[in-house]
Amino acid sequence: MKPIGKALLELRTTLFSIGLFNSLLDSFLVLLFTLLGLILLKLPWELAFIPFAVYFVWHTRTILRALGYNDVEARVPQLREALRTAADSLETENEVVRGLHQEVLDKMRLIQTSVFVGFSKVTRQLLVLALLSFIIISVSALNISFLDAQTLLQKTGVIGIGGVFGDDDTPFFARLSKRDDGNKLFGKEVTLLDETSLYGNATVIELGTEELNLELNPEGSGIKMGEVKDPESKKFTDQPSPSDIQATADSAYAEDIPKEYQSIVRNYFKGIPK
Amino acid sequence: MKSVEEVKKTFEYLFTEIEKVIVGQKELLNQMVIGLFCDAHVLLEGYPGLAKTLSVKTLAQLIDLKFSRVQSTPDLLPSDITGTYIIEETTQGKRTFKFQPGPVFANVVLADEINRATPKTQSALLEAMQEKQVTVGNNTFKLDEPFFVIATQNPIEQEGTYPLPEAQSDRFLLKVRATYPTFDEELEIVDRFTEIQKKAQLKPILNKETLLYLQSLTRQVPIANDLKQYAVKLVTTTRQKKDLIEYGASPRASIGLVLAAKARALLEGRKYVSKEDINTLAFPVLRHRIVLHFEAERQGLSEDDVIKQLLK
Repeated sequence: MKPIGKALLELRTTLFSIGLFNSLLDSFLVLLFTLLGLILLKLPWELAFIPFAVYFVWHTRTILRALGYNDVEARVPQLREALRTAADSLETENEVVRGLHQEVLDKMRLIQTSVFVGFSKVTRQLLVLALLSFIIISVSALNISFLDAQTLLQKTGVIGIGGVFGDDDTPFFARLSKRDDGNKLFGKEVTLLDETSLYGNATVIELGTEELNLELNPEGSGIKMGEVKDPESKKFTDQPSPSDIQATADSAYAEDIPKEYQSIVRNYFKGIPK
Repeated sequence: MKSVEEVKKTFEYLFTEIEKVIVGQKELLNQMVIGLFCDAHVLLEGYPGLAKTLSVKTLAQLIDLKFSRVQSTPDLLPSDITGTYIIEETTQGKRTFKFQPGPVFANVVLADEINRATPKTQSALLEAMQEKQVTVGNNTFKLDEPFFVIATQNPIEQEGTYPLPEAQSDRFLLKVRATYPTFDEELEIVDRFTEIQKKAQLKPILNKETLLYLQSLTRQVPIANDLKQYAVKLVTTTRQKKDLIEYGASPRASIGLVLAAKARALLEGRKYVSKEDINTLAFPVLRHRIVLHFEAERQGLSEDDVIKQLLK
């Protein structure tokens, strides 16, 4: 390959790398903004990857389509119109074209990669990324949210009881019982289930939205902290059964009932059904 | 001449030499040189007294080319241009026919007021321009290379003239307009030509072989694909803009525009064609190839005004 061809290839590779880097940076911003929004709305954080992926693909295509020799010529005025003429005449061989290729090659040696990187823009983006990361960490640690969107969506019936991705504790067939398509599984009607499920109707007990503050009152318990010791090993005797067994009469049954009332007591329970 | 930069320096020197004789008319001289580089012919339009003939004569002198002038009149015959057979008597008393070449057998032919010649005479010259050969009787005579015709036209005094048909004017690469000099230039002209002056001694700077080399170098100048498409788009637009242009330019205009742009790039010492070359040369290349619609004439638009609109 001619030196000019190699130089142009290197230029295209550099442009591609820079374009990809810029696209990635912009996409990360989208990711963090979305993530922050999802955290504040108490929605699953995994959803943030969807707009990230879509934006990354679309933005990369847009940037790479726009990037070309025109872009280089706009940033490097010495190469204006000469660069793309040299690129278009790579296969041509004559005195003038050779001179042009050499001239463009000499001027390209003066180009620095920093010309294509907008340092102020990148610095701003990195600062915003750092700020967003800090905000996300703070919001997560302090458990801040504006709205419980997941609960709201469940109440309005937009999503099921199990949430956006479903609750892992609720078995699949239980969730299936709430389907509106007549309990069809893969298009076939399921006859094993009826309205009264084995697990009963799923309900949610709402305890309220107030934060519970529990405080243990050490005075209210019978534990005396000063007497708390480590558990001691207990020595058990070899004889598990008691040495002698004695029957004792309970005082309650030793009551002296007069003779005329003894028959009434004896026949009391017999007379109840009568 | 070893490099493209040397071309620029050489012609800068050439124009400096021309300035000893001609005051101003830089654009006219530039475009005549462009025509020379393209091995094509130029139509010069201008009012009398604008140094059109003097410019051509001086240029031919500096490039060491054989120059001839044909003053067109209604009684000019084709043989007055091409040449004819004359009877020649040898010393032995034998008479033979000998071909006497006409003024067309030069490197630079100035056809003054070509619109005054009859269509038959015009076509004889135009045939020579196209074929670069002349047929007289049964014999064909090839013209010397380079062969360059500069025809002039007077935009006023059109009575009794035979305007060049569009099909014929299409053979000229450029239609150059000679303009009036500026006030300062006219002062200098007065100073030069009303005082006793030494005739400028001009030495040839280039020769025929160098010019032929430059003509081949012109065709080697590369043009970017998008600029080529821009030039062709410009020409095709002349055929589509039916509200202002009745007849647009032919593909010959596309060829001429790109070639002229390459020549201008070479003249400026560049090894590539720029958009500015195409925009500048769009006027001389297209103005004689388009026929304006009545609507454009009603609006008082000239060919240059319409071309300006196309360039926007």
